[in-house]
Amino acid sequence: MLTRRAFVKSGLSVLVLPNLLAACSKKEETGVVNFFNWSQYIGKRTLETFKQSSGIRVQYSLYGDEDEMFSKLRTGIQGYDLIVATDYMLPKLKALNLIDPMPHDRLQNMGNLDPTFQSPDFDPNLDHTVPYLWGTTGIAYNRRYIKKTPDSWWNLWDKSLSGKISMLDNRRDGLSCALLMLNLPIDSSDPRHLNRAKELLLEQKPVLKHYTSTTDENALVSQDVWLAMGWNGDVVRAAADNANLDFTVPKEGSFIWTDFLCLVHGSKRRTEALLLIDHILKADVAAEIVNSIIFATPNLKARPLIAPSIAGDDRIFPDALTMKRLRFYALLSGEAEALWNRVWQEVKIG
Amino acid sequence: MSMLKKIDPALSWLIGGRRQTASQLLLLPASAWLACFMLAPIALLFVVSFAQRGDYGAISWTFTLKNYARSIDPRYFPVLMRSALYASTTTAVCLALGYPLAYFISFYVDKHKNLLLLLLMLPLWTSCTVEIYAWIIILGREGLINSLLTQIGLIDEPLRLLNRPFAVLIGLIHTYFPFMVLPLYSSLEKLPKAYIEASKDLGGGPWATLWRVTFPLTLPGVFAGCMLTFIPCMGDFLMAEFLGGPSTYLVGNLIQNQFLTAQDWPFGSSLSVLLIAVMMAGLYLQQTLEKKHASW
Amino acid sequence: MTGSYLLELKNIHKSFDSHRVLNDVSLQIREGEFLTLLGPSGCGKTTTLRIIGGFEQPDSGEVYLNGARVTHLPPYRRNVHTVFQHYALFPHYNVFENVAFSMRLKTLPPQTIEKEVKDALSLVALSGFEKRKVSQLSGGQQQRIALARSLVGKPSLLLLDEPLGALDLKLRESMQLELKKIQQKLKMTFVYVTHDQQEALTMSDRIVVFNHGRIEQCGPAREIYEKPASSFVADFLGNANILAATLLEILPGSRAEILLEGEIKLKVPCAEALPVAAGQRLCVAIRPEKIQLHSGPSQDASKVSLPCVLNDVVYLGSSARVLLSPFSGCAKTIQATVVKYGRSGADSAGGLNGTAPGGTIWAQLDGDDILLLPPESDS
Repeated sequence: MLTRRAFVKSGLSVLVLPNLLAACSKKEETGVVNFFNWSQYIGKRTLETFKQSSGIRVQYSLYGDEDEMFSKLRTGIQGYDLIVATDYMLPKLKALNLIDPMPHDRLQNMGNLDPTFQSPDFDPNLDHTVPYLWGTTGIAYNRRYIKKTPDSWWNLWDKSLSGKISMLDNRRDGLSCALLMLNLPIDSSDPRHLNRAKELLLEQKPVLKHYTSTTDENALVSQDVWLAMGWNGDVVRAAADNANLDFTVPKEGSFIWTDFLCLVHGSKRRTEALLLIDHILKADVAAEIVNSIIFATPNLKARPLIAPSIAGDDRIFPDALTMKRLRFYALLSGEAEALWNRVWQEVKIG
Repeated sequence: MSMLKKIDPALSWLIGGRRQTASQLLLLPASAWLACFMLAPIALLFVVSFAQRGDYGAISWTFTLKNYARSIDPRYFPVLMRSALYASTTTAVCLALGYPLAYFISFYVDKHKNLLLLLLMLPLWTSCTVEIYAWIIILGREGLINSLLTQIGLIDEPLRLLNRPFAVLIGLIHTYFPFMVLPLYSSLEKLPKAYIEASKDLGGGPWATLWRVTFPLTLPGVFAGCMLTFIPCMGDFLMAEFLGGPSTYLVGNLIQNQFLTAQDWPFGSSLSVLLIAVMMAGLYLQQTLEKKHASW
Repeated sequence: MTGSYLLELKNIHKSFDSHRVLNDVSLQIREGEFLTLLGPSGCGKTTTLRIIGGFEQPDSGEVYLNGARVTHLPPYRRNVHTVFQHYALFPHYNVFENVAFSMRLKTLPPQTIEKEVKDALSLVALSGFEKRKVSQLSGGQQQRIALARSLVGKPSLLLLDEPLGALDLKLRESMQLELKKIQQKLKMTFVYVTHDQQEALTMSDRIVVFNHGRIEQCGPAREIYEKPASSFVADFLGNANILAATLLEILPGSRAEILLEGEIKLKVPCAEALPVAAGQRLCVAIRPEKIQLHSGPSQDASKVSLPCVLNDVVYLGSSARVLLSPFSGCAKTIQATVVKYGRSGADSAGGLNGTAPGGTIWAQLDGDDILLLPPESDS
């Protein structure tokens, strides 16, 4: 795989095809649900077990990053019933009326969830969502070349490692990290703050090999990159291909992100979508997903069923001490979001 | 209008309301196709370029010229210059490599001409993703070049080849090379060999003949090749995205990001409209030159 | 030996894709000569010219120019210029630059170039055309510019590849004379390729007749016409009637007796060395203009009359061509030229006397007008 993003963008993704064909045909299929998800973000057997228990076939489509998912929803490519969206996308999706409220009374397994995930800032009371998986942003590194555990974001600015560092290509991770390093409020919409963050990120550019839209797994495995901002599960999974890879949360602190299941506005297969959500909420199904893709689940009942090597991995399920250094991303107003976009753009063109 | 005629004679018929003939009717499906899938999107782009970005990327339909003002903001100037630099370097390298190759195929290859042309066109038939992936394999730290150089002991540390301007240029040259060579080849093929013989006859050695006769007479092919290379290069974003590094951000990436990431469609549209306008001007220039050439 | 000629071709062989184009061609050209290579298309005359110019290399054989071997020298290393069939004027240069081309390559001083171009243009009567574009010139003007461009470098040899082929008849005839005048004025050596026998006869000092990649005959124009060495040459130059005959006896005084068409005995002049011995078959040629037509058999004993059926009369303006089939059963049609055709009262001298196609007429031959030729080979 090149990157997930390239894969989807190139239009090679055959998985998308049946979905589009389905979208073209007029005949409504009752036994089908269209699910639009991150690539590599579901259990190996999840969809199969759903079909066995409900008789509903899942037409599964993938996206490489949320911007792409958002653009597809926005441009009105019809046919998706259920999507996975990251927390900070929710205000946008709600504002543009792309997702519908979530009828919790029709989900029997909601009670399986950890109550701490019941009221994130982005969607109080989970009106529109059901939490799916969560993870942390931190530093991925190669122990063979980086002898001392990188304990600070400043390590990503290390000139002696020029060309061996990569950075996530999105305003949320990039600017939040810079604000954190400058001890500035991470939800700032003050242009002066953001300008300082921009200066800091511009300072980093010469040492970077490149920006990547998702964790730089390929370059980390091939050792083209030794140090990268990334997401925990991706790194732990990549370590299967290169045992030198490890993941850490810097001392300045970092972020927890949560991905949510949302109902697409205007979907005609609401019942099937809700059945699939309920299926995913089952403890054994949730555990199977975690065991497949190694990201943390908000499903409390699933915890005992998770493989001990994963359940005991504090990179995936951080200990209480680490949890103190972690926080949720800031909820931005529309205006602030536009400003953040613009500042990030200036970082990129610089 | 003259530009449109060039794009599609049937289209000018549609607009100009000429007398309808059977042959023009035959062009109707193609014209409809062009109108729906080329002109309509460009028109839409043009309209959106005067709108405003609302909260979270919604389009608010209030007329503004702000997007154009922002497009020509000096802070985006370096990106434009960078793109122009990459595009012109690619064009120059393609021309420098392509002319001798086209010359060789046209004058020295006898039996395997078609095979060579076929090979030349391979990049056109290969998916961009495959090409990019191939270059990543070749240029990577543990890639083909580095392994080879390390093994024969030329270098101790792997060279950093990927995610640099060099890699972007390689990708661009690889992708757009056929666009340069094919028009060059066709203009060399069309060149009456008698001109070359006349030059040699009058004492022109190989170089004098090339500079004084062959090259000037194939200038239409050179212009066409340069345009066909330069224009798509200016809009390319894939190479910079996957083979480039933080310093290879191009106009194509800027536009792509407006649509995909920043969700600022009006700004992306205005950038696109300006880019299209510049390209049209270039094409117009090329055609004027070609006409001048044809009047010899 | 080699030194005494400007150009010498020795035993040239050339094939394209196993198709033999030139077969053992040897040729000498003297300084100041106007030599024409004549033959039907595909006979090898243009290939010979291209080998002289350096555009083709012979498979075997040598080319000497001024005594030096130039067989494998490229065109730009030979002081030989060519006027191409379609002129090949450079479309991206104006008239001045086209003419100046060879001098620009030698980086001569601008004053010299200007003067030379001026002289060359006045030579071809196109003074003042310097700034014209090539595309603005007529065919005849282009032809003259091509000539000027080739003359300006003072080549030791000028090759002309059917240069008048694209012009209309009247222009062609005036250009023929002009070319000859220019050649004589500059005392240059011209090698001229054409398939037009009239053109060859008008201009040439010597003519080389090609057929199937071989030289059939080489000699002064008059000699070629009057003493063709083969039936091919006799036919190609002047459309002679070729008839089969048998040599009966060689007579004293350079004469011979032959049996024409199996029944007519005839005394004809002959060369000292005959190609065949008595009793063997040979060919004879009779020019159409040497045949006289009468309404009855001739009374003159020195002449022979053949009764013929008048097949057709082809009107040619100044003359007419009459097609005849001899009664003798000869399969061949005989052609005769009638000069005064159509003029009332004049027909009786050599005309048809009102004989219509299908009627009988007598073709009268004078033995002195009959040329003896070797028998036709099958090639």
